[in-house]
Amino acid sequence: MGDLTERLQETGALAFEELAFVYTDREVPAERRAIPATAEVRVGFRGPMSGELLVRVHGELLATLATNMLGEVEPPADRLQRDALGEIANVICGNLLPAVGGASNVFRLDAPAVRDLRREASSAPSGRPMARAELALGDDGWAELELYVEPPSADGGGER
Amino acid sequence: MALNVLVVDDSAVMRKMIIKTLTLIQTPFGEVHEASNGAEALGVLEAHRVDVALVDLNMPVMDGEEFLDRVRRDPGHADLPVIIVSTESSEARIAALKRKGAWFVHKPFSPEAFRQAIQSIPGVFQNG
Repeated sequence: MGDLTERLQETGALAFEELAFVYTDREVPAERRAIPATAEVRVGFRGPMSGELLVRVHGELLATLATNMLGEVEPPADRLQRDALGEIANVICGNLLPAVGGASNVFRLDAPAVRDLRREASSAPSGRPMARAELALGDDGWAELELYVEPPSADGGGER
Repeated sequence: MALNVLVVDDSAVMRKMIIKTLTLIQTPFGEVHEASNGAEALGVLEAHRVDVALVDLNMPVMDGEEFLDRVRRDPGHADLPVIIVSTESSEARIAALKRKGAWFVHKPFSPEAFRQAIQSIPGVFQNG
């Protein structure tokens, strides 16, 4: 479990830093914890086991992430800001799954489902995550990363 | 010779990132076409000359693997160089894609990864 949490934090840091050029830190400063969540994204996966990755971002980071990813000066349209966060989550999920199911297994990823929590309610999965990690992002934001894995079905199959 | 490129990914941000990265590797590109899934990409191939396709795997409507299979079965495009650009980490799946004649670039990617993939395609930039 500890290894998986470590891997979740590593893959999260890699994605935010290499895709969006936002520096990360494993320790979230206490004063940032009051910053409200502004967006979350869920990426479902199916294979030898099924589940979801949830990434929840706190702070006004959507525009920064998208602007950095596109290498532009002005923030892009809301649609592209959501798309940018979705792609970050997609990359985290794809790079995390070998640690969950082994490097030889094939997983299929669903399209990321992004919610703007400034306008929409959270839709976090029920139950306890198998692994959970946090990352400080940039100067004034942070992210929660949670991996949910469904219990095996009665017939032992994982793929839907 | 300038290469005409087709970038296939359901994320518009990722398509733009790939195109921007291609501009960094000092390779002469001509027309750049975009598609958001494999089915759209097949339509682009029918309408335009494309020299190399950079294709995501997980996409709605038609994923990258089905696109690759259809291209390989199409006598008009069977030899199209296809570079899969994906987070896929399954060694077995990557090996299977390579057996179908695809190159592979892992996300997150570097400009160098694209340079190496494109320069390793026979007949493309043989002079580096």
